[in-house]
Amino acid sequence: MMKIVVMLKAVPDTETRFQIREDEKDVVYDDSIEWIPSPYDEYALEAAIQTKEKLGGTVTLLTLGKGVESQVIRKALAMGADDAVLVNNEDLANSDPLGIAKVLAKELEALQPDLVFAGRLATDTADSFVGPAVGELLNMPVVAEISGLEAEEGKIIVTRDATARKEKFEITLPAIVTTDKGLNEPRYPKLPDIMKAKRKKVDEKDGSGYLEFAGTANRKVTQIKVEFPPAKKGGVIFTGDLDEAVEKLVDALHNKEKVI
Amino acid sequence: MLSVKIERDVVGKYPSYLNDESGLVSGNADKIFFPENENDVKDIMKKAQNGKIPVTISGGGTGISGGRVPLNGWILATDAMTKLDIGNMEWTDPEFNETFQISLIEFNNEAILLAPVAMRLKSIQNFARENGWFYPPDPTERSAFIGGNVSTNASGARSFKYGSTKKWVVGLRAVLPDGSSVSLCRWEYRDKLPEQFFQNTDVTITKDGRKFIIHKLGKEIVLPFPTYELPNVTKNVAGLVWTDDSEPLDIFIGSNGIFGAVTAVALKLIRPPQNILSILIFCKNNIQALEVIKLAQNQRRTQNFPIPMSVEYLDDRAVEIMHGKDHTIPNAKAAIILEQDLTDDLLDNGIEFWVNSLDKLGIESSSVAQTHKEIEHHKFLRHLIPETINLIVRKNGQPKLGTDYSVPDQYFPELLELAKTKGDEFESQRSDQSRLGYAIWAHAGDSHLHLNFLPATLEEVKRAKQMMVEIMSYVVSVGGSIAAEHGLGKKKFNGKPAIVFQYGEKGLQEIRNLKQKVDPTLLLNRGNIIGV
Ligand SMILES: Cc1cc2nc3c(=O)[nH]c(=O)nc-3n(C[C@H](O)[C@H](O)[C@H](O)COP(=O)(O)OP(=O)(O)OC[C@H]3O[C@@H](n4cnc5c(N)ncnc54)[C@H](O)[C@@H]3O)c2cc1C
Repeated sequence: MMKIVVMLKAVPDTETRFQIREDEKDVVYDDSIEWIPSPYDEYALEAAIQTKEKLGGTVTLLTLGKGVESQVIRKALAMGADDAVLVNNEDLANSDPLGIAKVLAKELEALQPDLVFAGRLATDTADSFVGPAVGELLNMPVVAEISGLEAEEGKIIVTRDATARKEKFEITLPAIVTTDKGLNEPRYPKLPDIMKAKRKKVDEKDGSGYLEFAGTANRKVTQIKVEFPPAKKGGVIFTGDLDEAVEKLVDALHNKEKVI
Repeated sequence: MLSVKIERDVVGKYPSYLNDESGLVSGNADKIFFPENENDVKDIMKKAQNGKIPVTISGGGTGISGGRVPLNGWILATDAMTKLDIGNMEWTDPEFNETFQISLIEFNNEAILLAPVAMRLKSIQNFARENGWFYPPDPTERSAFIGGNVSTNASGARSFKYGSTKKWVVGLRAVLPDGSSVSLCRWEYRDKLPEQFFQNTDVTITKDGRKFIIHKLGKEIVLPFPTYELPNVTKNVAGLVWTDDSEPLDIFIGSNGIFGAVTAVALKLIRPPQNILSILIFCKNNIQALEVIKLAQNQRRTQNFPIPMSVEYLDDRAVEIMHGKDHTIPNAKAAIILEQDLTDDLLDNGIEFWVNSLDKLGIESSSVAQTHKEIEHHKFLRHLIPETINLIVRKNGQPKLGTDYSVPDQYFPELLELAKTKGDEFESQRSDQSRLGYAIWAHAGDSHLHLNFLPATLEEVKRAKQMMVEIMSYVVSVGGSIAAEHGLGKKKFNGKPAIVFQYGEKGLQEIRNLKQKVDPTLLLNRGNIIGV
């Protein structure tokens, strides 16, 4: 019986076209944004559910949130997680990566998991930090960016893609792994499971006890400015048969751009 | 002299414009023109009229009935018509990096988008979404131009709830074969469209009972409605579909460009649904699938909550194509894709309705997409089906022969049965038994079915055509349509324009008479609908 925890973060849809805030310190997060599970976290969740299906046990979601996570958590519960812990505190969620890792580590300590899955990065902040940092804080072994997994009682064997080779590791549990693309194909929930998810328990806490050491006041890394990269010059797509498209391309390079 | 971009070597430089996605016929043309605005189009039309030169209008080229295939003369390619002179904003579609000049007029619960004809359907959808609006029509092929969508009155899965393109076109501008321009809108939108939309026109068109009347320089061209009986279905684009509530702009919607070139469109947008669930339902057999379809149709007929946006049927072959790309999809005997839109307050009620209904039908397996990204993935899988089939078609080197028939709801189970029988019969006789012989998918909510034959030899083409004619006779006999969404274009059966099979020789003659009144020497979009 494995006790499995998945660290799950809600992020803006990866196609979101952001506006920059007036003070330029961040982008605008308003109602127009659709919050989705961070795509790498979905591989984590799928791996967790598959492990549970193979070895038995429970899957608990752990989320540090800022009030926009309820749909994302409900969806993950519908996919097959059993329950969730949500620390809902905007100040903590806006802290720096180390602050966030400290909060999650504290919660994990209480959950006593055998195996923890996290995405290799969250697609909004892309720090690739929180998973390994939590491992460090808890003195747990960590293997990052796994693309293969075989779970057994007491240990797991994971695969990681390195440059031009694949590496395999055997890890003694409890441990933390972060998941990469290619590990699995995350499932979509079945219709009845969406209703069942509503009855699953979400333990929501305000996390105010953590503010003292992990809130924005303690933050050592602060985002001070956001800007867009310079606009790309409008590209042109040449359509038609291959020959025709090539013809048009050559024509444009020769007559319009005058480079050949 | 024309100031438009012209190319003379069409065969050498623009061969794809001699065909469309149908692979039906390959055309021929002496010149291709790329007008940028309505005035350019007028110049081209006038010049062609003076020289008695045939003109064929081209949109995005995704048509599957040969509509844009030129039968000699000139091609009027609308690709460069991306900027509306009267548009008051520039917008760049990040997906294609293409810039359009458009206008958005916003009201409380709806908006009007004035769009140039070369804007792709996907760009219309992207623009709407980015600005907090929603354009409901969703034909599967989203690289089609909106001009093409209007001219074919395209429809999609969501037409089950929202109707076809026609319902969302509230105004348009067009150029008639003689080069005169006209601006038209639906009566209730008269005051909602900006004044410039109606300026600089040469003719007006009015309606008087069951007649449209074109007024030009004191002269009148009277176009009486055809007298044939329209099929008793929710989706039909066979020939001219003029009804008592048609308005003058409907002359140009769905008529395959035979009356003129559309140069600008005014589209109605609404607020997006607060929640959409895309539910892939995996069935143990066709009976289960038909039960789901019947239930959805019943919801629509009785106007009971919830009415889904779309109800699509996929046979085992179509499911297998999706499975090949996404292994989370099981290899089911049949599948339904049901899209349900729900407001926040009715979200749980709506889900509960479908949970209970499917449970009663004994359906156990489903996959639900809820975020935009996931729904796009379902759409991607759905689009993969025709795309994969079209690839096979190209490899086979023979045209795809697909039915585009719809029937009154109560006959849909019979139609599905008939299609499956014919498909199996065709497949059992093919030359190479390992090759896929057919696949069926259906916009089942509208009782509209695509049976796609994949012939690889001339012999097989002949056999498939024969079978299509047989199914067509059945469809007409039960009051159905032989062109539910693709339009008739240049389709022929047994050497006759397909329209004859729907409305008889008399119907053909009536449409031909109307065409001749507007285009006396039959120069524009030759071969479409009436065969000449
Ligand atoms: C994979 C695939 C899936 C498809 N799915 C659907 C579907 O779900 N529903 C559906 O309805 N169709 C579907 N189609 C068919 C096709 O996409 C539609 O018919 C579409 O509306 C054609 O638009 P287009 O811009 O590509 O037009 P074209 O193919 O370029 O032209 C179509 C017809 O419109 C005329 N035309 C084009 N522009 C104008 C204009 N400005 N003024 C006057 N006439 C004009 C042309 O002369 C021609 O007769 C599908 C096609 C493919 C390849």
